[in-house]
Amino acid sequence: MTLRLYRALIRLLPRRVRERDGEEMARALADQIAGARAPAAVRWRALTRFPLVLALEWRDVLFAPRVSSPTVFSQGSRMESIARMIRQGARGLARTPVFSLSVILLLGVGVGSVSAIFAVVDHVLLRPLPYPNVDRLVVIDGSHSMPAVRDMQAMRSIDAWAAAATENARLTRDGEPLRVRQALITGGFFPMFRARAAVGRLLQPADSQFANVAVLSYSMWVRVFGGDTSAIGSTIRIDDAPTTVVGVLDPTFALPETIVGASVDLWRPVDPAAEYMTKRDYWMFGAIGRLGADRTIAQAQQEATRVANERAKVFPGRYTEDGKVLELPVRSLRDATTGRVQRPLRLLLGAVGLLLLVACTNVTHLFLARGVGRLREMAVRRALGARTRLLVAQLLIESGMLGLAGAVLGAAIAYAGVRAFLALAPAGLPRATTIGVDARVLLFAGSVGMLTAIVFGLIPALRLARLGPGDPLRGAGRTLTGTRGAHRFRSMLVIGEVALSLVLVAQAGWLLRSFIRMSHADLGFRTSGIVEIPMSIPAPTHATRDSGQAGAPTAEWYRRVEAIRESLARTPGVQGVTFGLTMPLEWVGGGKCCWFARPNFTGKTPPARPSVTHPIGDDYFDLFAIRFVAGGAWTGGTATRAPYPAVINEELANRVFGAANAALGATFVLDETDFRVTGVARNTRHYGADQSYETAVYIPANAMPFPPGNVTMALRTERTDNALGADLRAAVWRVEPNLPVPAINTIAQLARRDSAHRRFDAMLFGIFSVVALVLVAGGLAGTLLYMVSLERRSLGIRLALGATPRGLERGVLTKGVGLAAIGAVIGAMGAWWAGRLIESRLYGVEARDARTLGLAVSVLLLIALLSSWIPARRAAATNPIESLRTE
Amino acid sequence: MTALAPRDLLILAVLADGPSHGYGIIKAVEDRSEHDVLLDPANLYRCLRRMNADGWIDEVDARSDDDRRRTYRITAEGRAILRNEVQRLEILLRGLRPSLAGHKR
Repeated sequence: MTLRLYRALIRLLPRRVRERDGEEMARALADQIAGARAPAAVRWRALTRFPLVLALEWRDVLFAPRVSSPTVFSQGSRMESIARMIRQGARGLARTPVFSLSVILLLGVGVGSVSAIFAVVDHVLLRPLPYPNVDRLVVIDGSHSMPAVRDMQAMRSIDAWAAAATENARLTRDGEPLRVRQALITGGFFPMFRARAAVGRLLQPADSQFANVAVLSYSMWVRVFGGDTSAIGSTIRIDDAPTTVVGVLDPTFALPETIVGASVDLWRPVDPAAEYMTKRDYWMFGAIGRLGADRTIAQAQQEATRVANERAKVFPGRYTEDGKVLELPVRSLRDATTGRVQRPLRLLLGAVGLLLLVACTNVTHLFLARGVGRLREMAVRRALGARTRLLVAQLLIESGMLGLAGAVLGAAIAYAGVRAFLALAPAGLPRATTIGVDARVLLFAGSVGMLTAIVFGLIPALRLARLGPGDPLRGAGRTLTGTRGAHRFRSMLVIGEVALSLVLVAQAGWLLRSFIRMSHADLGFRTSGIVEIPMSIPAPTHATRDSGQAGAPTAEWYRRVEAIRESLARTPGVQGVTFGLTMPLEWVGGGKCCWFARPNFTGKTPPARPSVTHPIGDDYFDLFAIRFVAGGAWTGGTATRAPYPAVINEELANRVFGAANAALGATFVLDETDFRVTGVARNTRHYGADQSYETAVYIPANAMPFPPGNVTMALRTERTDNALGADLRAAVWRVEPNLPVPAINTIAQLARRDSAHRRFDAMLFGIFSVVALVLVAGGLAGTLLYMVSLERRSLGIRLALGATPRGLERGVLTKGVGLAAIGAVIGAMGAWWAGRLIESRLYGVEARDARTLGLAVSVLLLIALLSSWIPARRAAATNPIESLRTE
Repeated sequence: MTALAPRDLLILAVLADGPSHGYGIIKAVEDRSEHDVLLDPANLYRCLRRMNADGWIDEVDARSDDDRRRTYRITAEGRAILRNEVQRLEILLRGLRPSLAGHKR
């Protein structure tokens, strides 16, 4: 047994040792054991001493000093020569610190920016959502009423359903009231996403009988109960209704953001007694389904289309828009979650990819320039018998070492970059909470760094390897690096660099223009000196509404809102206060709240599409400086009984009456209430500068057929001091001590939020462009300087033959600008093509706007001119005698 | 000349008495050191390879008839090294003995 093990160990020895002594060692041990008085001790010693000897033998083989080797690369084992090449490479790189650091820095910048964006793309787009059967989860796009969700359940290809709606609510326990985000969910919701409770339990089927239970989010539990488990079973008040807390949701649960948004504080079962369960007017639920095994989205879409057509027939006018059936688009959950950002993120990845390429071009320049020095060294080594293969391997190892260092720097830059990205990114990036630099990103950075270094280091290495045996020695380096081929290659690199940068610069220019346009867009209302305060005015929830006229709940609600309005109006510095269900720019980025209805004009066919309906306070138009095309607003106190006065916007007037004046005095019925048009207002960009005009109806808030849960106050003031917020809150609390006031936004802040993603786009592309321009300037200047230094001899001869320094200077400038011009032409074509990709990101700027492109070209040519200046001066300063002597 | 490791010294001493093969050396070294120096094959053969490479010992050409064990013998250089080392140790001991005697009780 021992012997067999020993023989196995012997097999591990280096071959030469094994062949020489292996057999003898085994026999000696056998004899030793046979002749020993204590065989166990002999065995023990033999086995325990072996590993050290094994290690020593291998060390000797791998790291033996070989002073007597006749050639630079001996025939030693592969490991040995690699170890030596690494040592040699490190020494060589340390001897040229400027070169090495430049390469590492360039690679670091390139790899770092690519990796940072990759980290975002990876977390947002590439990783699967953490739900069971996630490939089978689909979303029926849009908001639906609960009866509509029930219609969809006719779809055979979907075997499980869940629906959820979110809304604001007011949570009270002992202390001050909180405005919270609550989700109303059906029984299938938590099981579909396999959610778990951190404490207590989640919702059960029995809960749907009584809506008075709630599951808290983890953070809400910590905030309200300090993380106390006695919270389970205790009672809180939600919109004044007592509700029992039954559990706390696992904090690691990833919210299905496309259904419930990025944050939910409170989960409650849908209330079976509520009106929204049976009425088709409450389009508030997101619907999600699970495809049956081996069913496809295409099959589900077919069935969804059938459902859509059928319901349009059963409920005429309700499910059509502009005469077309309202479709029910089926999308995978993944698509629905990230589809919106897929394009912009890919675009960013493409942009940093260009930046990386520009950085790599400069790396190649550096490798080429260094190659001249290495050339003679390599030639000498080859003359002494080193094989080309090994010389190339040596160069590759050096590139790899630089690549590794660049990747390490890149990882650090990526780490900082991701943090900066998240800090600057506009809100609404899905799955943003999990983004970070992790093992996958590090692996990516490492691979990109190594790969680029090796590939771009290989280009000069291969050029070296192609040389004939005696070439470099004969020409002392000059003939080779000065050949036409090398010149052309270097010129091509410069051209490529300029072209790539131009693509980036042009895109940045387009995005910047579009951002500027958006910041100065005419929205149709005042965008300064206004403060908006959203709040949840308590109203009897889900109250059945009186038919035909404004009922007691609305009157009660209106009284309370008016009291708040008056209190705010008495605050020092406030010049006017109004209110409404939503205020301009409160909803931006494509989200549109809150009430869409179809006004039915007397004697006209009902409009094809629903209109945004704005219940507003009296001074709304004055306060926002919205102008009238015809007629005017109602005056305070006139809106007391039907027919109530109303204002419609130009868009609606034109669609229904063809002209604004024709709409004056017209009557219409909206949600079973009568109105008369007193004025036609100009169109406004209520939902943001980049949203299309909606048809809109403005009605007095007290004419609402039911009291809404939310209201937003808007007030006009020139005050910007820090005490304003406190003053306004105090004013609200004077009349409504229990009302949460979560946010006080100036309209300028809201406008900034509206253009946030354009600013972000423009800024990122701007940063990438500036870096690319710096790289181009460095690359061009470096290359020209290098060419000038190689051509000193010919420059000297030309000077001696009568050329003027000015002429030489002009020659270099022409060369630099000429290369840049060729690059600019190619780049302009590239930018033209790439313009298509950012078309959808632009606002108010034609895609491929030629003026911007021209400006980008001019910037690049100017930079080319500037960076050719120093090499040109150097050429002009050539001393003919000296330059002839040096050769 | 620097000091030899006890193991090297003993191996040279054993071979100075006549050629021997690996196991013979192990046994003789143990006997001479009164079981103070114990050898295992791996270390022994590593030593033998080194001494062979340095020219202190060499292999006996004809392997002994009954089995094919390699037999080693000491070279003139090895003998000189052994002699030098023994002399060095003797001088060292000579210098040490009086001090030891002086502290005898």
